[in-house]
Amino acid sequence: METLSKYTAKRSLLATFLIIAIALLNFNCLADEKSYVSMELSTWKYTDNLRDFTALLLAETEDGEEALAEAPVNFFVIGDNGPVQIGVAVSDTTGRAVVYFDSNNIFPCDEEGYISIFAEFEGSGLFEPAEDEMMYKDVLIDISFTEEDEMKFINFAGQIRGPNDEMMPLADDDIYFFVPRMFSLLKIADGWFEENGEGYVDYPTNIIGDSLGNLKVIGRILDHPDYGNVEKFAEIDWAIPRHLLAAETPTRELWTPIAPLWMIITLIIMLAGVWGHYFYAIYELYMIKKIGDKNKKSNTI
Amino acid sequence: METGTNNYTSTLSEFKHQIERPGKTTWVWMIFLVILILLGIFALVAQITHGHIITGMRDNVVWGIYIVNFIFFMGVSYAGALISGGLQLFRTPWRKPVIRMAEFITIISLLIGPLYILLCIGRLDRLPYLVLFGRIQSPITWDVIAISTDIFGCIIYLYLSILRDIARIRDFENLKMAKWRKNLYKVLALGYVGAPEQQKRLNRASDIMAAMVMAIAIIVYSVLAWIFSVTLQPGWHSTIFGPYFVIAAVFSGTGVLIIVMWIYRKLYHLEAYITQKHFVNVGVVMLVLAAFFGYFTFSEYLTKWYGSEKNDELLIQILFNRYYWLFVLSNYLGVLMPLIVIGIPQFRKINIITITAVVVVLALWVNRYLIVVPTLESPYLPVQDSRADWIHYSGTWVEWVLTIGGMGSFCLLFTLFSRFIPIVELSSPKTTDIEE
Repeated sequence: METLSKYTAKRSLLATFLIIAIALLNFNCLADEKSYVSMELSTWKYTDNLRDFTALLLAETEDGEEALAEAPVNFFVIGDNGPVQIGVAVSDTTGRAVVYFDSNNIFPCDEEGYISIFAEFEGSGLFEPAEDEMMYKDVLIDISFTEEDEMKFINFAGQIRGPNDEMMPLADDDIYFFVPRMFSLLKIADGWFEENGEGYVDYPTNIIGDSLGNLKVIGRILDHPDYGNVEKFAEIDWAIPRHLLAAETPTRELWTPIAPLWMIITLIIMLAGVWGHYFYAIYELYMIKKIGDKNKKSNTI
Repeated sequence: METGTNNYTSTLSEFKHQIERPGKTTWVWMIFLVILILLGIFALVAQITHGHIITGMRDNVVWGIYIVNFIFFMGVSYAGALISGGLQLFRTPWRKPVIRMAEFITIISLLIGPLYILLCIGRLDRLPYLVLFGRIQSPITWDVIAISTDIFGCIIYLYLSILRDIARIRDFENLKMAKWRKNLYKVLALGYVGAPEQQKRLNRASDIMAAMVMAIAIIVYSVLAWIFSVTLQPGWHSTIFGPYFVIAAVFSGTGVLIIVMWIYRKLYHLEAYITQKHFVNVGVVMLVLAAFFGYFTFSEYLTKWYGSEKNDELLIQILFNRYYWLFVLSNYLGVLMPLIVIGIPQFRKINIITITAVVVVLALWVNRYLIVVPTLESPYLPVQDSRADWIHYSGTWVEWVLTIGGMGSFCLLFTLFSRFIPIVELSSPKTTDIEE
């Protein structure tokens, strides 16, 4: 009986060790499991020749894809002598790490005019490393306005910067035109670059601008495989001037200087009625006190 | 001169220990309430230091527990005004033992409720702009004018109501209390000795103010309802919101009154003054209001549901899914329980009526929550960032602690008020009125 219990105890002990060992092994395996991270590189060129490179980092978690914040990303430009680091940025809460450059800084390009950018996240204890590469050609857009026979046009011209800084026409591609409204951009026209790198669209005459009729017209090339995103804007005073119309009679709007007459009259009547009764009640209290003082005086006398 | 002097003198002798120096139990109770208030102040300091980010309120759901507490306290206050004003004006025979409690409820709730609005405001330093640059066409301005008018009116009404008792306490010589308190009673009594002319003037002023506080209560709570209903929000843009709010307010107020009656009946052994009859009478008022409240609620949601307007449908879907149990408590249990308990004579027992009142008060608080939060969670404009904690509201510890602090303030003020003036009117509380 005793032998049996010793045997059982040994087996139990061994089983316990085994369970702990398996658990520890699993724990280590779990601890080594890192989340997969994807990176997507994109670029925007703005009117003031500023260019950004954005690396979007998304980590795969149990809940699906989530933006990876606080991740340092190294940016490189790839030249003849291999990659050269051009900047470092840390991703924000939306998972975007952005570096900005003056577009006039000429990065090295290949014989076709492509500039290669490479971005890399080295990974961490919880996340796997990620990288992405993109190629783009530098593009210049010009926007101008012309008027012919009472017709108004938005003219545009595009050029591509070549390997030796020579310029070639940007041909057979789309450009979209927008005007800013209160909450977002309103698309007003789709344009097409002709063979000579130029084109035009009709200017819509029903757009409202500021009080002087000024309007910002924004031309954009969007998500182009060769040029990325390019934006250029120009201003013109062709818009319909915005007049802040004063209401003829006061309305309920808070920005009107005075409330509607009916509201003022109602309020005055109600407040006068209520406060009149209050003052009457206070007057009665005053009279009660006066009678009390009178009684007191007569009692004293 | 005043009649029934012996009657109130004997009554005052019975109540004098309540207004004399507080005993050990009262001190412990008050210290407990002060601790609750201090906890509230701690939460307030945390909120001011860290900003509203430590509350559950966000860009989409900009109102939460604070505004619910505001509506709740204001509702209780207006209910107190309507009940006390109505009982006074119509000389209801059984009013004496409960009218003072209703008056206290009115003024105390009115002092605490607006504080919750201040807690909602992120930039308190801009509060004076409301007066400096206020526009009459703004419903918020209506509310500020209405509430301040109401507070002033209720203070006058309460003062008129307690003037006789202040004079009686002044004239009662066997009271053990500090000299400053005796002097205070002397000043506040305004030389009232119950002379016929004084009685006549006091009754006239009391009747006028009773009518005024009733009218103002209806107007002010309607204005509060209009703050919601003038906005184009699903669930708020309703023409019946004014009367619906008033009914809900009085309904919750009757519940609070029954609870207070039960507490003071036990605490001060007022079994001879507050009888089952009083509970049943206030309970019957609660029953009628429950029926009206149920009718308004059904009418409100039926028309929304049948109209099938997209956002109304979304709101009803949210109410019947995420808030299902709260909806059941608020609009089914809260309505049906008083109907059954008061409606069936066998259930008309003091404790059962009080439990029903507790359920009603909880249900009405939840009702306000269901009016405020689900609507803000289903706005007309689509929510651009769909993070769950931005769309859905959940009160944080700061908001709950400040809620508890508010409840503590209510109880503390009620305790202090009831120690200053007897909780039951001294003039023949066991019988009908003798003075008017």
